[in-house]
Amino acid sequence: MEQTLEIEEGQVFTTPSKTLTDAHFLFFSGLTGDNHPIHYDVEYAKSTKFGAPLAHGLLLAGMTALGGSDASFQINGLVFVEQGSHFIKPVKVGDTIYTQLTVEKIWPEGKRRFVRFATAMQNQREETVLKGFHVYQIVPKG
Amino acid sequence: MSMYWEEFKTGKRYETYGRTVTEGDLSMFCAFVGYHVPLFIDEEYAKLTQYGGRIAPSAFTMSVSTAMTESLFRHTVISLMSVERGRFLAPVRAGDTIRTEVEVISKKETRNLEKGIVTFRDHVLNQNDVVVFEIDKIVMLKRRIDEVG
Repeated sequence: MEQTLEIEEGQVFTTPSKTLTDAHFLFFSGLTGDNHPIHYDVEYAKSTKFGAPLAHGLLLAGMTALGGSDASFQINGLVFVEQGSHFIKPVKVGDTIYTQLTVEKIWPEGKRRFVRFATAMQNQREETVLKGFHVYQIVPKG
Repeated sequence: MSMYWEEFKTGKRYETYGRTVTEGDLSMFCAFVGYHVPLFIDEEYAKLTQYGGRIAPSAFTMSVSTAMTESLFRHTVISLMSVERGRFLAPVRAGDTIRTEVEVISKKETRNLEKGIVTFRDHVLNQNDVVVFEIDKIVMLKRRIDEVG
């Protein structure tokens, strides 16, 4: 018997909008060990074409978390199996970002079922800074 | 410097230290406890509110200010029995420097001669001497056994 899903194609979920601070960068550097100067060294960053420290790509990918969106309570049984991110514009300290996750496709593959979300992150200037996707397997209860 | 129950004088105010609240303090606090309230984490949203920008969550001010007072009874505290009448009077923002003055409101003996109760009122002030937060804390403290005899 097929499990009833609480999501359907076309639905859009949103994460809380957040202003990124140097503390977020520092925390992520500490956690992952990625302390390349482009993420925290203001003088170094000035010498690059970006002019200011940039958010880690994987930090931004992390900020697309489905569980951090308002879908949080209707994604039981969804198991994360794949993701991809295209980093379109730099994100710097002080930028305010949020992510929209759109249910793109729900499909079967043999006995398995999958869901694909399109992700899009926007900054305070309404610019899209990241586009990507998540794929989840729908795992039956029990 | 920890003080015993006997050493706190009713009506006296004890000064503690100041601390400048940073943006990082607020980011970490919100991330740690799981606050996703736009007023605390979204500068663009907060700009449009009556506050004109992000402010500190009340629980942050409460946590930091109570930590400022701990050295007064670090080794003599037995328990924090209750907190009462917490009043958030003015916003706290990144860049503000807050300090806490601890006033002794009242003292009470207990049947156990090794313990006494003190009601403290924490007055939290910013760099402009504006009171941003007040709260009463009822604390069980050790007494000086030697003085009890």
